[in-house]
Amino acid sequence: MSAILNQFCRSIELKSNTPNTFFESQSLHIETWSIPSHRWEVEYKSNPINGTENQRKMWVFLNSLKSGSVEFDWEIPIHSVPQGSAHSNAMVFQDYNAGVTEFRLLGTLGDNFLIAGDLLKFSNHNKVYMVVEDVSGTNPIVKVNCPLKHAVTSSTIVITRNVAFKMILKPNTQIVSYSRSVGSFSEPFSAQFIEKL
Amino acid sequence: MKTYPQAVEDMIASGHVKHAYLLYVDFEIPLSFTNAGFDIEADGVTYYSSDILQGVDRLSKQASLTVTEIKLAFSLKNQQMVSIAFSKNWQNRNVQINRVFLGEQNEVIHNENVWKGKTTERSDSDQELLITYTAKNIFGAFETTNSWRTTLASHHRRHPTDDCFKYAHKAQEVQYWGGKGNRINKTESNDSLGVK
Repeated sequence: MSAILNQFCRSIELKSNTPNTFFESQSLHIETWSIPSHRWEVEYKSNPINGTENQRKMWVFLNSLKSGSVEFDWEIPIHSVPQGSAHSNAMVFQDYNAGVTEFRLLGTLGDNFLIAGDLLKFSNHNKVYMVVEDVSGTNPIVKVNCPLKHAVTSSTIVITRNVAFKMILKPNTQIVSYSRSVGSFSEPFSAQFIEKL
Repeated sequence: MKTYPQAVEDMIASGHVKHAYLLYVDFEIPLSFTNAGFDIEADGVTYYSSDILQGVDRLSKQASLTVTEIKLAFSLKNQQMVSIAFSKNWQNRNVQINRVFLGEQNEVIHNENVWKGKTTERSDSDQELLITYTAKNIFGAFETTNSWRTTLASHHRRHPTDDCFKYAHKAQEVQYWGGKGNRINKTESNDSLGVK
């Protein structure tokens, strides 16, 4: 169903939300207190949608999300496609606790298996992580942008291609109508989506 | 004086502090939650990262005998939470909030208590599907009327087999030395004791 979003996508803004509070002294020194948590958020803008059939498909899809109460999987254009070889899914080398930001992959994966900025997720939970350093070689270390939400074991599969986000429509997003201009094109619209944790 | 391990002091000095709060409510089925994005284990308890915990008031500590209270909001969309929330014995339960400092790999490097109190009130809202508990610190008890009387019936509500106030009413009676109506005549008394 989410393919309709990609079909008429004009732009995607992927935002990384990490909660923290900061204090600024009068001399402009900054101190930050962060709570280790993370959520992806997407600002989506559509193209004008051509034809009544496609317009209705989009309209039905957006309405089916019920203001954030329905989850959907979404392979986001550009971001979900790895720049590294990511020739196969990998496996976690050993057990890791929730909260860690580094782990090893099992096996010889070759050069540039993943490039900084590529995304991955684990087979046992839905959170999407971004690789922050290139991943190459044998049993390579993977550093990710945020703590693992759940513990993983040595047998857990790491998905590296076509990484789909588990998303919901941001609950305060109001999409209650679509409008058509003269001719067969609808007006473009924007919507906000957030990762379902 | 508050002292921190060197790792925490270094973290504070760096200007970037990673921390999380741990909430423990000692209901019959205890609740333990964290505001971190992942579950945290500390002192043998697992604190869950969950959307059931909807919010905790801002904490404040004062160096005076001041009643501080906080509100704890929990979502009622989980069936187990509903049964805990509406259980009978919810009053006067211990509430403890700790702060943990987290290391490079988000391991707990220091755990300190920042607030303690007891549940005093609760309210729920069908509109928001939330239940809110109010907890007050130890000084909150000074503001309440003490319903514990020095009578046997009152004492038995808490300690059914303890009769320590059985004769408490006797304390109200005037007791004369040597028995009522036999006031001691000093001279006679002294004589009788053979003291001159």
